[in-house]
Amino acid sequence: MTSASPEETVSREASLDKDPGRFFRRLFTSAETGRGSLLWSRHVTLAIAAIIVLVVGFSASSSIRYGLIYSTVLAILILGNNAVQVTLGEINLGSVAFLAFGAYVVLNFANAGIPPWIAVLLGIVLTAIVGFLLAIPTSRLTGLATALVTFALSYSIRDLAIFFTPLTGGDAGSFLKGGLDFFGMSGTGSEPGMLIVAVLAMIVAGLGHIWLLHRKPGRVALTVGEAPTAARVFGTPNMWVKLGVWTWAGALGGLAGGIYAYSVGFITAYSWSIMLAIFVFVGGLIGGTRSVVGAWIGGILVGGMPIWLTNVVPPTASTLVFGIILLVAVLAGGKGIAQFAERYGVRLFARVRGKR
Amino acid sequence: MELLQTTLFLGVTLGLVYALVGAGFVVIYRTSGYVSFAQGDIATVGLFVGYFAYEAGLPYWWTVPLVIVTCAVLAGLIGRFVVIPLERFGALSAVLATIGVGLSIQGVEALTVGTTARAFPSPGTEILFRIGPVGMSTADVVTVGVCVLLFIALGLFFKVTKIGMAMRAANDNPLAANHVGLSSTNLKLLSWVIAGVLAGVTGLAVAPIYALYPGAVNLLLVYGFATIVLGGFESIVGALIAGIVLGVLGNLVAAYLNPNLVTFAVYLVVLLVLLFRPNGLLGRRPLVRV
Repeated sequence: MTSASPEETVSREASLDKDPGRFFRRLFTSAETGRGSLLWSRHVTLAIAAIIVLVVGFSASSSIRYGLIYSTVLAILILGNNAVQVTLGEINLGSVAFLAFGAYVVLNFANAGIPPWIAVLLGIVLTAIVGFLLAIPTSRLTGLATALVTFALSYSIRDLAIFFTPLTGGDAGSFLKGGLDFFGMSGTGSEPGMLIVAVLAMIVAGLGHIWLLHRKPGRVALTVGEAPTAARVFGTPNMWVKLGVWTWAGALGGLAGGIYAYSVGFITAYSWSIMLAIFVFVGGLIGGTRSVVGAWIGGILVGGMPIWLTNVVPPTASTLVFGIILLVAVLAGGKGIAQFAERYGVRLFARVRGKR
Repeated sequence: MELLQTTLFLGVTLGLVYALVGAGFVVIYRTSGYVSFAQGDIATVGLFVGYFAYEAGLPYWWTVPLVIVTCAVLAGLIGRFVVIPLERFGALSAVLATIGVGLSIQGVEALTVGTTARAFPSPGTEILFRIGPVGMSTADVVTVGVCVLLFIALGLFFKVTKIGMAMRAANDNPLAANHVGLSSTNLKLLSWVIAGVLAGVTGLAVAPIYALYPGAVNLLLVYGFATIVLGGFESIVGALIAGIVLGVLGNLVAAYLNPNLVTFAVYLVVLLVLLFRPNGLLGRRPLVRV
């Protein structure tokens, strides 16, 4: 079951009465796979997460709000990473390249006088094209080779940004003119309007991600990732499917880059650290690679926490916190907080209904 | 012409260091089937221990074994008590564990010794002899000599010794290895210790150039990864050749194009090679029974 229409909800209730064992098995399977019967709850949790982020962001200090904006930017980036990892089973450590490209496209177009929203749209489209082009050679690789090659790509981005200083501002950096105004609210820095824009972008990206994963494109991509030979036998154009997934990851990277550019307002080559690529990857794993809310949790852990914890933990020690969290996540089975919560939520539901 | 000679010669020297980093990855990959992202951080811990011992008055040549032993012991402890136990969740979990360990080490270093860059001592900067326009310092000679010796030793270890062959068997067929009485855990532990030694030597070679701070040796990780992808994940000789190729290529790009294009050139070369030789230059194509 991949949708949450009222009819289907009724039929799900009916199956709970008729065959509770099968009903709960489907819920458990859905919690394990990130697809299937729990689609409705994933929409609800996404909405709840968005409301929490907005309420906290509006009522808290600008430092907390900026942390939430940055977390959301990273969450969008994590979503793209997760798409590659969940469907194709490949590790992408090149997310920083997409983020940087998207940010620089927006910087250049916006500073050339293009309206901000058009600049962001161009950033998404052009970064998606870059994702597609990079995927042509990269998607021929598998396993560790993909991870290491994308790691090299992320590593080279800072140097490339310096090489293209006339376009990027290099080490010295460039200011971005204007802001992503939202119905009269200023969309720059840590302004409330910027938070709304970031949250809306995350909702759109999240809904797209959920839709793709639960519908035919997700099914096909999962088949290509998990059983490529079988997919080929059934006539699936594996290469095109892989290119499609990488292009989606690129588009999300471009979106994240655009919002990042407006939230920081000043972009320098030193923004693109290899550690950022690792943190994005780690955030996805800790949050849960098959969940949109998991991506948001991951974004908050690797993006917001270091900013908010500066009074408690020295910035230099943030890597220690991440390291320990990552080790704990691996020890817990490596499926992420969101999946863990879904699994135990379903278990609790089953216990409450007394049907286990 | 002088520029070309200098570029090539220094490229080979640098390439040997890259090859050494790659060899550290190969040793663990051969036994366990994954790479360790913590290699650079293990080296940094050893270097900090050596640095403070040197500052306390220990002669340089005594800090060398101290650094290497520290790295070997630390790598062994990390392998035995953190990463090898987590292999039961799969190779990806083991890789993640190495990232987690690396981040933790950087955090602990930042908290304890700070993030200030320190100048690490060198074996010597005086020119010992010249080859054409290129002057070879004591540090260069020691680096080249040690790298060559280590590669010969590693090659012989994996080709000739029973333990070396057993380490490979433990990854190729763990079940069969267990049946013939090989302890895969001990063999993996040994691979971590050897990788620790290599990390220590690499750190000693580069620390005088890069200075010492948390994560300093991680700058070489990408070259090490490129080396094993290019040379083949399981090939020590492949790592040697690929390291030298990358060292020379990087120096040529820096000298004749732009130093900021070096890392992108490395990325492109690795990508191109993988497209035509997915198992690297000297990697083995996996045999599949049909």
